[in-house]
Amino acid sequence: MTTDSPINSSPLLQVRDLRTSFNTPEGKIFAVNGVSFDVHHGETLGLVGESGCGKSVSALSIMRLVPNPPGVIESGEILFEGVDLLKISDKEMQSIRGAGIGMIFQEPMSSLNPVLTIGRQITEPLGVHLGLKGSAAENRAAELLEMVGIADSKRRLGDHPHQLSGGQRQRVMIAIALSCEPKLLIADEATTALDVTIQAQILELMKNLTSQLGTALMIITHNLGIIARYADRLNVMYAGKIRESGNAEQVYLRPSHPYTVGLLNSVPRLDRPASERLDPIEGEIPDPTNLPSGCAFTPRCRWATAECELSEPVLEQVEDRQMVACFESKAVSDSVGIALQ
Amino acid sequence: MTNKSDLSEQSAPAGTGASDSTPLISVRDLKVHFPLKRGFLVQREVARVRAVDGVSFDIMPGETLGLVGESGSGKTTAAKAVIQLTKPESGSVKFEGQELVGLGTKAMRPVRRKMGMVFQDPYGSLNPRMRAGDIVGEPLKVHGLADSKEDYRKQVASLMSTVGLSPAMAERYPNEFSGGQRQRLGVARAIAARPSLLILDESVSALDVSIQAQILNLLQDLQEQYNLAYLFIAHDLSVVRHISHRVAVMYLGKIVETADSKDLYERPLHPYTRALLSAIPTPNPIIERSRERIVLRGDLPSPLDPPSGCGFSTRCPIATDRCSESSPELRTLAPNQQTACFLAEGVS
Repeated sequence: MTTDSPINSSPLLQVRDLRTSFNTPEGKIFAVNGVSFDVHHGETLGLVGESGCGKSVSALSIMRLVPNPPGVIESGEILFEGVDLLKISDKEMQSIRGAGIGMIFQEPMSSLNPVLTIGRQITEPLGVHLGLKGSAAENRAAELLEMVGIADSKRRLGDHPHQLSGGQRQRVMIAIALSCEPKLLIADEATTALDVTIQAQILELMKNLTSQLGTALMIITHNLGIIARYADRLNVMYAGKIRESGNAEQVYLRPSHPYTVGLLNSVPRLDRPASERLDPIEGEIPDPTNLPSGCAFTPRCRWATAECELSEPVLEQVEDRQMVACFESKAVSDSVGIALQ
Repeated sequence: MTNKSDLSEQSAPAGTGASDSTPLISVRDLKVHFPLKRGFLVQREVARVRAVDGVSFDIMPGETLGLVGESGSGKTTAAKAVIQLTKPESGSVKFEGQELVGLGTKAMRPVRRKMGMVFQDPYGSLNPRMRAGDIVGEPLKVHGLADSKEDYRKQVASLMSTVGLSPAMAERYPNEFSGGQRQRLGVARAIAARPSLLILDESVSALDVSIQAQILNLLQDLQEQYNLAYLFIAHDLSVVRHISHRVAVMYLGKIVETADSKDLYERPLHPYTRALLSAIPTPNPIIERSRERIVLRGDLPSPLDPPSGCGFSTRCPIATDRCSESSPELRTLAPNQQTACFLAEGVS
């Protein structure tokens, strides 16, 4: 469980022991396997990990958008403003999506309807959630487009998605996601497909708008640099579980889980000498249908002991607000603290 | 440089380094234009995309040139024109002293043996119906490099272990390999015919970071072992810095800046290079939060309708009237560093 003592108000979102499974021909896999975390009002939380770690499925579970079949949310609680999203009706959930929690996906081309105008797609949630119709809705839509930096907004409302560039489409997605002023915005690899200069534009826009509106932001990405720049706190996921969480400074400067250390040493960095050889994590991500016993990271871990194969470590607090699921966390953070300095 | 005679002033090569050896490959004023045709029965050319518009660079044996740019900058087209997979409009590509532009398919074959290519998508670039061993060994067959069946098997086994795969996996099909392992197969195939140049087109971009690091280390080891030259194409500037000796930055079909890797990252002079570098977030929250970011206005212009003058002028934070009137050529502004910008002096 994440401790939330330093922030006095109750968390906006509390995820408790979430388990989401998928039925595959090879057997049932737990994409998310006992994940608990909080998102506080107005904060930016990063969810980082490599493909298949369960970061996107966590987000889809929160939105109740896990495709069923083959996906099933098996157990857990998702408390949004105190209401368990797993217990409410589909209709009630629909009013949460958009109005309570907005979401932006990686592919703006497949998230926008190609045959409808931009205006139609922005005004739709305004009508559904806020009851805005006709010219009132249209004016609001134009305002929203202006807010996300699309010039000549009134005219652009008549455009179709194919008439916009990738960056502009993602701006439209942000406008739609923020149109009903949700309390939480989830951005799932929202800038991964964009060119670097456009990526920078979109990220700055997202950060500025959410801080202006007081919206909490959950950034899901594999890019450690993006999280370092924008997130207050982060969760590092591996094989369906959170392995380390904490404030960005804590996790980046004194990582205590071997996987976090491995990730940070795998990326070439502009703040380190170019000649430095990369120190990658050995081996590959385990087969989800056949996870190693004990800690799933054991086969790739340099610090692994006999204990790691026998039992699974749980998240434990190592420092104020920093939690790590590793028996050897003390040895890990001690050795890395020296290496990083 | 030995072939200085055939380069015009404006198309000075990308940072002809202090090294005094002969370049392995020498590209001069390379242009690739694609006609855009319209019309039903009678097609006529209505426009011309200048995908690569006068690119020059040299690569020394055993050296890595990083080619950086965003989508549509022409980096992949330039690479294809180098290996003659796309016919260039004009220009010259000299490989080990031999002119490749205009060479027929048959004459190209022995040259291709010396140029390997590794693609981005490890799923799309391996034939799913071929066994791993045959994928790796195909270049040996094509170029007749194995004396006997036994020799072929031996070479394939040795190639597989060179790239970190167990030779026992030769019997498997690509779908039994993970993404990282497939990329290793792609590398094994590319080096099978013992090339002197590898063209690596976004070869590590699609991989997870831990696997990406493994492949980057493998590439560096192979370079050292076989004195391979790399043309390393990528959009990720931190990866490019890590692996490249020299870097050329492309924008709208042109090289806008080129320098030794160290200099380019420490002292970028072109406003586009500066913006690109500032757009890369570093995994260090303390550095990141205090760092000023240059956020460029607008989108990349369409290569169909490029701006007049300097291609970057529409997004450039320091552009003046002159920039939209005429196009700046590459100028040597620091040792081994060339920049195509009228105002680069003011930047430093």
